[in-house]
Amino acid sequence: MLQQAAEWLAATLATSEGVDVTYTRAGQTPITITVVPGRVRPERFALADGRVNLETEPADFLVKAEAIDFGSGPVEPATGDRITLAGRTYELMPRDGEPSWRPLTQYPQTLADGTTVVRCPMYRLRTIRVKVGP
Amino acid sequence: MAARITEVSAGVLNFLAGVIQPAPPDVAEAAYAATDVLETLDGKRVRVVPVSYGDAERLARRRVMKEYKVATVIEVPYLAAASPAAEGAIPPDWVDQQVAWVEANIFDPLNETFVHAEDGLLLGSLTCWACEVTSVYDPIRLAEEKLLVSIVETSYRESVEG
Repeated sequence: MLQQAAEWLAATLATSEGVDVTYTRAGQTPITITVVPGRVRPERFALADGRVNLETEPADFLVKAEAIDFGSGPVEPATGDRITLAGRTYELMPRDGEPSWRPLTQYPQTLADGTTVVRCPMYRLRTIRVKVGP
Repeated sequence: MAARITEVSAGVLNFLAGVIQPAPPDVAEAAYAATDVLETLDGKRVRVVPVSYGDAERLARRRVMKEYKVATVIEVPYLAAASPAAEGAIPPDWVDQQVAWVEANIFDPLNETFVHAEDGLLLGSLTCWACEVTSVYDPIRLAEEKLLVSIVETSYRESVEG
């Protein structure tokens, strides 16, 4: 029941709220995938007691687990992967002590041979908007 | 007439600009409070900002040593694509290069210039009294924004009537 609900939620979110983005990994051909844009929470850091300040734009995305496929089967996200959406580039980076990505939901599934695997229908990606170098 | 600390900041900036000769997109400037937006940061930013000033010591009944402290804040963004093999981490070689650049182009010149009167003083009367890299880099900004932030603080002293 929970497995069906989680997969239904992932599919519904991707269909109703999803947007197509370009997903890039160094050394791989960029792919187009559907992601669900999540929370955007601008941050400001003080350097040198606030005499110089740094503004950043972290953004979360949800993505179906099987979406990231560079041609040899689905792979997990990786720190440093980039998402380009409407001319803006976001890079997966660890943030606030949390990893750059994590399974959004997980549940165990027993296969026909009796073994149990942990399935995950969606990932949450933590990104920050970056400047792309030449 | 500008406050002396403002003149000192401007003098240090002028000196550093001559040393590093920034070319676009790099920028060197004086600032009271600057704000950078990470996604538009396209090159080095070197800023000289005032920190503090006051009487350091009394030299005679009508003579006092004034001290002025300025900070040089250096930001260097890492713009290249992350390497999956390194799990997205900035290459240590790149960090080494930036740390070495700060030492060679900011710390060493500030630390070794305006020290002896016979070689010339800042604005003609200010001696470099202390120079310290108070932050070689900020590990959190390096990990979470891929930005090397380094801070060099320099103190200058001059003897004035007072």
